Amino acid sequence: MTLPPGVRKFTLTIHLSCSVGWVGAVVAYLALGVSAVTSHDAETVRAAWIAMELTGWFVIVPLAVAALLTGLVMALGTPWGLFRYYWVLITLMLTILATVVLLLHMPTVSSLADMARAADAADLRRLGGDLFHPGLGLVVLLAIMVLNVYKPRGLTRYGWRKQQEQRRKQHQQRTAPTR
Amino acid sequence: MADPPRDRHTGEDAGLAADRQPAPGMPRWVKVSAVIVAVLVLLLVLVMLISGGGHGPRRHWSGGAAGPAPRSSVSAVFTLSGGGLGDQPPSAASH
Repeated sequence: MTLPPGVRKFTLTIHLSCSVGWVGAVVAYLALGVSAVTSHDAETVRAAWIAMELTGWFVIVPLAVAALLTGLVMALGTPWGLFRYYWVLITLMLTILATVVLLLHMPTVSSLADMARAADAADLRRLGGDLFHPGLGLVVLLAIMVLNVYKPRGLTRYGWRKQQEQRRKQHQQRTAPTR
Repeated sequence: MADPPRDRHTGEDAGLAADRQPAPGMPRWVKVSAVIVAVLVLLLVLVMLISGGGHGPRRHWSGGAAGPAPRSSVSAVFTLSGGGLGDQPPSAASH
């Protein structure tokens, strides 16, 4: 199934917006995480954790899910396919991995944000931050971005078989006797 | 995913040429990337084991919906003496 050009461009626009927005939101989350780790002001730490929870649930999670879904539509609705090219396959796996880790990690962020809401100044200073997950997530997202921009060559075995089938069909159509 | 893939065999004998091609192996960039990722994951696991472990996907599933928080942050909270959140487990603090 191939999307009509208009629908393809519209889906691509949404996909790019969500994907780039996801990267930007993770950078913002990291800034809050750094602030929670480095700040000596208890209220700043409390605000950072509350903002991290809100950013996570209301910005990062929706963008991640939307990027994954629109990516699936783009892959299945264009000749790239989902399993034909290594760069598409790796992008898919990394996006699923990043989304799953995000969804598993967010309840922990909520727990810590709840703690931060009720903690006193001494407890807040010992609460720490959240840098490991967003840091690693950002690296994964940048790797996905590089793959999507450069689109390195390489057909999977499945993609190669599909390509062979298409070529065979094209060849048969060309050589078929016309009546 | 903006530009559709280009087919280099567009001539009259494209079908025949395709039949003669051997099945492609895994590209070098995939192999190199796989090795790099494997080494990094191994290093990460080693660092976690050396630093006392306690991290991984199971950590998120073992404690119910909320799951325990990272050691770096929660262990400090648990060891607080009285007051604040010292007595409150993360699961109780969640929604």
